[in-house]
Amino acid sequence: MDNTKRAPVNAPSETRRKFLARLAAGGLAAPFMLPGGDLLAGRKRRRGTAEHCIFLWLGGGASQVDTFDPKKMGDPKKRVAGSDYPSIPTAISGAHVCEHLRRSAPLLDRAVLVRSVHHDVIDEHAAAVNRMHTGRPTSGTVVYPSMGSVVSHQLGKATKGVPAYVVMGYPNLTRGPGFLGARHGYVYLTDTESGPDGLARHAAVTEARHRRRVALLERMREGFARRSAGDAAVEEYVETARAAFRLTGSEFMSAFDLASESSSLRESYGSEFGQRCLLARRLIERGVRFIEVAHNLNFINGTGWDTHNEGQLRQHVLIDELDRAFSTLLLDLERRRLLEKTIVVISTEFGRPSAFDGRGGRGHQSTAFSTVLAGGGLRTGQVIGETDELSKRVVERPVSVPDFFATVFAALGIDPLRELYAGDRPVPITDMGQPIAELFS
Amino acid sequence: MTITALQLHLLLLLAPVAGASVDGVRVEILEGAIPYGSWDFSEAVEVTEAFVEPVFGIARLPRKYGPGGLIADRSNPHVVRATARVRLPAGRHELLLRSLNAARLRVDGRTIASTRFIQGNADGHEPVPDLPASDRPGLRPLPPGHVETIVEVELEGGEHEVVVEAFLGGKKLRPEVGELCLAIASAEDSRFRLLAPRGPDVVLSDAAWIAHARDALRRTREIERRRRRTASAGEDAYWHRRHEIARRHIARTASTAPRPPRVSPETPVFNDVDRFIGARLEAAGVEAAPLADDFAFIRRVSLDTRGIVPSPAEIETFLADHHADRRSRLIERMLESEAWADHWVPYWQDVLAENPGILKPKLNNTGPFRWWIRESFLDGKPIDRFVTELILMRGSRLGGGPAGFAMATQNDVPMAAKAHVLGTAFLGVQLKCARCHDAPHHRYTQEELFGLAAMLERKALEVPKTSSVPRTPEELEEMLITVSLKPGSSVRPTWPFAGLAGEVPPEILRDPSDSRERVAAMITQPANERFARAIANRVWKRFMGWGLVEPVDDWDGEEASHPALLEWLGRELVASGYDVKHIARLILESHAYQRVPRENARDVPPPEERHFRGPARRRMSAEQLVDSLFHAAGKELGSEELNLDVDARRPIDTFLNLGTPRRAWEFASLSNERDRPALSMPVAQSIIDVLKGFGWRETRQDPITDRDEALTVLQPLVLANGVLGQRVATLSDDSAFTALALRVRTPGALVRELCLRVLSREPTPAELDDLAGYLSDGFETRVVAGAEVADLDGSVAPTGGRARHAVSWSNHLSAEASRIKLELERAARRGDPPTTRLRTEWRERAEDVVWALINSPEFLFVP
Repeated sequence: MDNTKRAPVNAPSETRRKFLARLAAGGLAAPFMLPGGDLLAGRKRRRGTAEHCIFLWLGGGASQVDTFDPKKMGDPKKRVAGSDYPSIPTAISGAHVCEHLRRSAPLLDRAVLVRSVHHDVIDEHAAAVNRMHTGRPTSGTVVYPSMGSVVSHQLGKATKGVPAYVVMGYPNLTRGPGFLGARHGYVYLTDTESGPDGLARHAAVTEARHRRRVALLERMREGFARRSAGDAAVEEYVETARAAFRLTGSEFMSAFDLASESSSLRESYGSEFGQRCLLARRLIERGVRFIEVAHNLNFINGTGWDTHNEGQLRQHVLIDELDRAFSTLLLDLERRRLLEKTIVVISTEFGRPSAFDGRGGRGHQSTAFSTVLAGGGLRTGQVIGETDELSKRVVERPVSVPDFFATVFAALGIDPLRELYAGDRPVPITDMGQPIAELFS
Repeated sequence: MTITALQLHLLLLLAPVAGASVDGVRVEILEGAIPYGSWDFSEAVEVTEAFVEPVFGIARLPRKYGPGGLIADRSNPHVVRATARVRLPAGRHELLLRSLNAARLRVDGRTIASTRFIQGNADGHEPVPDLPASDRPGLRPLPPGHVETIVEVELEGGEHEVVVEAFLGGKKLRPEVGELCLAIASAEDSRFRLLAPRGPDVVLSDAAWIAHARDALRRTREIERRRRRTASAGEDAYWHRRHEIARRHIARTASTAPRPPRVSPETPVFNDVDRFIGARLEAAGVEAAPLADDFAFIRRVSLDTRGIVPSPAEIETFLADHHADRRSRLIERMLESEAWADHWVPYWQDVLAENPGILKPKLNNTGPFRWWIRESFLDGKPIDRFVTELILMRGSRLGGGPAGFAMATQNDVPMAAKAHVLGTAFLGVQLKCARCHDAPHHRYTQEELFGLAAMLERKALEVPKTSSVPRTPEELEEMLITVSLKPGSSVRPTWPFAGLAGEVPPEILRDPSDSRERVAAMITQPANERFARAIANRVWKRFMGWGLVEPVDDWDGEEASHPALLEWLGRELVASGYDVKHIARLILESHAYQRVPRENARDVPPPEERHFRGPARRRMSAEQLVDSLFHAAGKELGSEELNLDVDARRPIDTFLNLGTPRRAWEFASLSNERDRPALSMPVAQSIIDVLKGFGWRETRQDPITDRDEALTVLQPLVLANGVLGQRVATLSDDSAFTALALRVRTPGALVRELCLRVLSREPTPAELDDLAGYLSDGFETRVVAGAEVADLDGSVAPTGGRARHAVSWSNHLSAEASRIKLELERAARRGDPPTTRLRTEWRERAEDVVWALINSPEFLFVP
């Protein structure tokens, strides 16, 4: 269903259909919509030209002072607030990042550091994850779509026979399509080698055996289709199944064959997270619009980015893995002339305070944290926003969650104020978010 | 927190007690203000329940039932006490006491062993404990989170009084019995056996414990059934009286009620339903579709009543029945099945927005009142009583009672959400938009919704800012919506649907001052004909594919396709004492239902074109699909327990244990918003992937009736290539397909049996040729002599869900927890191990045939 039309999700009732027809006939359709567009009619609309998005997710809440917004050094043992690592200069004049981002630092002229993102959810990961995936607080009556689902809905897939939206991480509601419906959901995988469950042949089934089975199935299908002649739903299912089976043997599935990449490139991307980033590039090349890549290497430090207590001790390994993958991804995309049309986002559910907890880790902080935007045709090489001495508060150029979402959408040429429909209720794509003007020329 | 203590206290126990032994272990539940952490509680407790178990092994406690037969909570903590006089031979014995929370063992009045009290409030940063391997071969390993202790005793022969007591719950702890057991070993027999009154009983092995637990489930379910009946006896009289009033109402209004019309002799009529349908077909000049054949009929009626395909034995029984009323006899058997309840649970989960969360509250989480729904349909509870219990929201909140319906976590006005549910579910009134404003195309205003919500709340309600539309009057004018209530306005309890039902007859109100009870009575009283019709229409749509009124949850301005039939069915429901099975029987026994589908349920024609030449063809629901696949394969779902607090150290309002699913409706969101490998449940996830792909909702934040079941590329793919399809098609040792393959004498016989099992029909001649030919090569030599059978219930070849590991919330932030779960994910992806009893080459071809059968679209479409 195309949710930009004013059609209810369920079969519309006669009354509603009549009602809507009357609206349309009387030219009243436009005023039925929320007046978001009109409210902001006087302002300039920002439209970018990016076609794809790779969304790197640092689950758990990445510490901004230990990554992209370094402050004076602290000391976890003495519980002196501050960064845990020294900082180094970057390709953005005057901007420093933590020393474990040494590969990315010289490439940051391709990126924008957004240091002033903020919201108000701290105590509960799930709610904050939801905020940073849907751009909205939860509401009692509407299940909002994720950023990836909105992109899938607005832009569709770039080529036929591929999914528009792929998640490399665990499936959950916040990544889902909400009111946009299952069609704008994701295909997910938790392991790059086996690929998404269902899309690829099961590992235990060889190509030859698969062909043999499909031949058997095809004869069963034909018999059933013949016996059900005239039933459009059966015909459509059979046709879809045939198309789907073609997909599994297709060019798209070859994306998962990472072994076809040079070993030096694979090494340069690094471990599983890096391989996911490499896979993301390969999916972009095949027409996938939006790929969320979860950086959930919790086997390294246990906590992932949720670095309470001893989780902090090996955080630098996480940062190093991120640095390796992110820097390689930028260069790889650039080399293939994909960086201009691909916006790479680093995001997380919230940040962490510069103060340390009793066991040398860090708690949660949502009043100020950092995200990164790279490529995507944006005016890169900038830092947006500034936090105070210990990164507790934003002191300059705050970027709200809706603004952050609006920026990514605008970069992809999506009007952040466009209305979608939850059933027959109009819902703008972002909650009145304003793209960061400085990033659009 | 796993501790194994081997205490070798040599205790000499004398003075065996005289007296007759009871044939069983008496199990008592002790409740009261029990202090946690101490065994000194004799003053504070009373025995509230008791039952008898065969051995000292408690795998499951029956639920507690309160007034009305509703699931109730026990005191937290409570204590379970198992007592028996046990006949033991003289000599040295080892006694093994295992428990989740603290337990102690007393023999002849002396405490001789005890285990530690659980320490709660785990933050997730603990190390993953080692799971100790036992030095006793064959001993069931210690379950995660449990502790055990072994004491050596020297006994005089004769009868001894043995008492095992254990704590369940505690402050901020979820009560859970775990695997509480006492086993005994001696020099003569070093294997630990569960203790029973007659002495050592079954060996405490994996297989024996699993069988014991399965029996315990059956026994405790039976206890529960009896207790529900006893506990609800007080209510029964009230409902008899209500149904008398209802019957009087029907009698009083009989003169103006529709009667089944006359139809021509050519029009097929099995019962009165066909007269209503037939008269319309005649008038429209449309021909009824022919009767479906027996194979199609049994598959359809089995799916519609039980949510699973029929077994080959059931098909054979049906075909061998030569009574004239054989279809009715089949329908009766199906309606008697317990699975009738399993098939209604997911329906009401959707309609009532049942939405429990296993990890901390998220938006609109409710209690797991799924258990109450199931019990209601198991007991054949009248639907007016079901709805009344729902609205009164009593019983256990987080243990499965209808009080769980009262919850809507993180919702600013939970009762407004409930008013919305009740409107769509039972009155065909859609109040969704009214939450924040008065909608242009719905009759009901925000004030009316809040009036109903206030009745449920039993006091005036304020409209919060978050339930409004923050716009200026001019903007709202442009949007064609009205916000007549300002945020902060207070709305008094007011019944908004005067047009549907007026005053409640005073004799049905037990507490006239309770506005919540008034809502229940307003909805369910016989004068509210909308209620009976809304229910009848829901049952009709479930079996016939389209409702008489569409959409079934929003009747505003809609016409019924057969108004007289709708009214008649509504009256039948009321006159039967609100018995849903009666309506089901009327529909299932009609010729109309038993015909060949000629149209598709997906395309709902306008009422004037909705003739019901036959039922409209449906696809299986997600639950029907998954349950039928496993049922056909004779396999269990094999899921992990839906519980992230394995060691029971967290409060129940943050971590629910939804148990190990036996049917697809039992799943829930796995809640891994945190994206942590340590929180993953790979087998459950592989099943959920299929459920979601076919329209099941992992969270039900709002009520729906019609799911989004749009066709997607993923549907055929996830079945064909996914882990679930692979598991169903694999000829593993626990597969019914494997048993068949070993048993049959010819490839043709195998194909016939597979077809019956999977598609509920004989193969066509072409299929028989094709598939039997495919299986004939190597058929004679397919069996490997002497191959060992893997015990999938045990430890030989554990798949992901059955594998033993100690990862729990308390340690999930350790690196080791992630590594363990990543390994389990890999194991889950491999699927079930194939049997070694069949030669690989032939087995794979047999699997190909099963695969082709389950992937044929025929499997998915209800015939």
